[in-house]
Amino acid sequence: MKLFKLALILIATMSPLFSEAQNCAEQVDLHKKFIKPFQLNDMSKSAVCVSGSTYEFKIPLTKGREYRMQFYAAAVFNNKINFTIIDESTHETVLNLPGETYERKVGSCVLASWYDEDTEKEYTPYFDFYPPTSTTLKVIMEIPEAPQEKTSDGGVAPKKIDKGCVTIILYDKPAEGSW
Amino acid sequence: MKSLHKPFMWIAAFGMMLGFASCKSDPDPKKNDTGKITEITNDNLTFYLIPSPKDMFSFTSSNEIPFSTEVLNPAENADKYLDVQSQELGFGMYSADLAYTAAFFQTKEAKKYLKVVRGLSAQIGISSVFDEALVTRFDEMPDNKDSLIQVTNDTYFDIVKFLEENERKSSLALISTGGWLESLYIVVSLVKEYKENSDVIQLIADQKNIFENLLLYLEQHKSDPNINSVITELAPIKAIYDQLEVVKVERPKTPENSGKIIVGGTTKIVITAEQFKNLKETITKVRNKLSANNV
Repeated sequence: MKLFKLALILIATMSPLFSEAQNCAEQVDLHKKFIKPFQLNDMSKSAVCVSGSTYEFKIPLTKGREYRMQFYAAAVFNNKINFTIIDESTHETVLNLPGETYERKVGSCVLASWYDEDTEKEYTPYFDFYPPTSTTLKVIMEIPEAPQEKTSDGGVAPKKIDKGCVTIILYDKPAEGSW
Repeated sequence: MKSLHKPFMWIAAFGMMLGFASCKSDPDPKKNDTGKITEITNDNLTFYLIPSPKDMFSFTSSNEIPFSTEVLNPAENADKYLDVQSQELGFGMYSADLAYTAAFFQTKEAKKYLKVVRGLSAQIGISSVFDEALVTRFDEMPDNKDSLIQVTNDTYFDIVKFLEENERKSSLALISTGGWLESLYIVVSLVKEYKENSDVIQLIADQKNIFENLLLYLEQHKSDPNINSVITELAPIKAIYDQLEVVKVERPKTPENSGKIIVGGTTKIVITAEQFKNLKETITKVRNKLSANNV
């Protein structure tokens, strides 16, 4: 019986390893949806990110299409990621929002979804982009340092680094009135 | 009693093995022996995204350019691809040819190019992408254009996913390069005459943004000699795109409260007739050299 328990403990101990080692490439499949008339764009991307780092994703957008962007992040980050999107052709910051806010309002955050009582559906934030001329968007994701933990004797534990997938799902469709 | 415990020990041992195996496949950030991240390099902080070939043809399939088998990379060329670089570049090129045939609903040609793509996939170790389900979808070739495009899109997406899962970044970079080069070659070859306000000409000029992304992406992996030599091959194309002027334009008025974020619209990349001629010749030269494996 002891050996049986030992085996169960070992398997249970292994499960966090499985979850940490998850492959981010699968995340696009996991989050993609069918949102007619949009189609999934192959530039959709998921990458392993760590706390205390800033990441950039350069996404070229082409005239004649409209794009929809949705973001997802691993639970380990608690939605504490700040998102900035810069239009590289105009150098304008077109979006600067946190992953989550207390406010449950469209356009207030990037990651947190909530139940919308008006539509009686869960609302997941999304952002629609229309480029009258081709441009490149720079998506900057700032992930703060993970909270510092203390050891049982009150000392400071070694620096903790959280790691997980952050995913951009990109959809596109022909722009209205385009060729 | 002893034999009763054996299965659990095996499960535990198997779990440990899998755990270690999956940890090993963790992507980039440099780690020490304890698995802690010790170094974050610029390579894993910046991601340059490259559109797939079908994006090019989703613009051009309307009526601006025709379908022609003459612009396709001859299937026989696949036999010349004996090294990894030419096989992966060739795979990208044939994927673009496949996307082009699908965009124009050329079922017979699409089947032919799928066969070539499958053949090369085995050589570069990604044949598992072409599982039974996918092959069946192609064998029962969809009888409408949208379904055919969907199958080819799904195939490309699965290939990218497979390469990312397996940390084959250099392979993905070479395939993306082959795909981009071939799709641009197809489009420039089919434009017989330069027209200043043509949408296709603008699309070709706008590839400057995508090409910049592609080059930066390749630069991240230039320690790989296969990537480094491709960067050199692409230099003449860079020289032309660098010459293209970016001019200010008035942003078109768009309806208020549309909920859309308007980006771009204040500048436009301009290509002259002379630059277009040079670009067309250069693209053709580079593409023909790489597709014939004469690097």
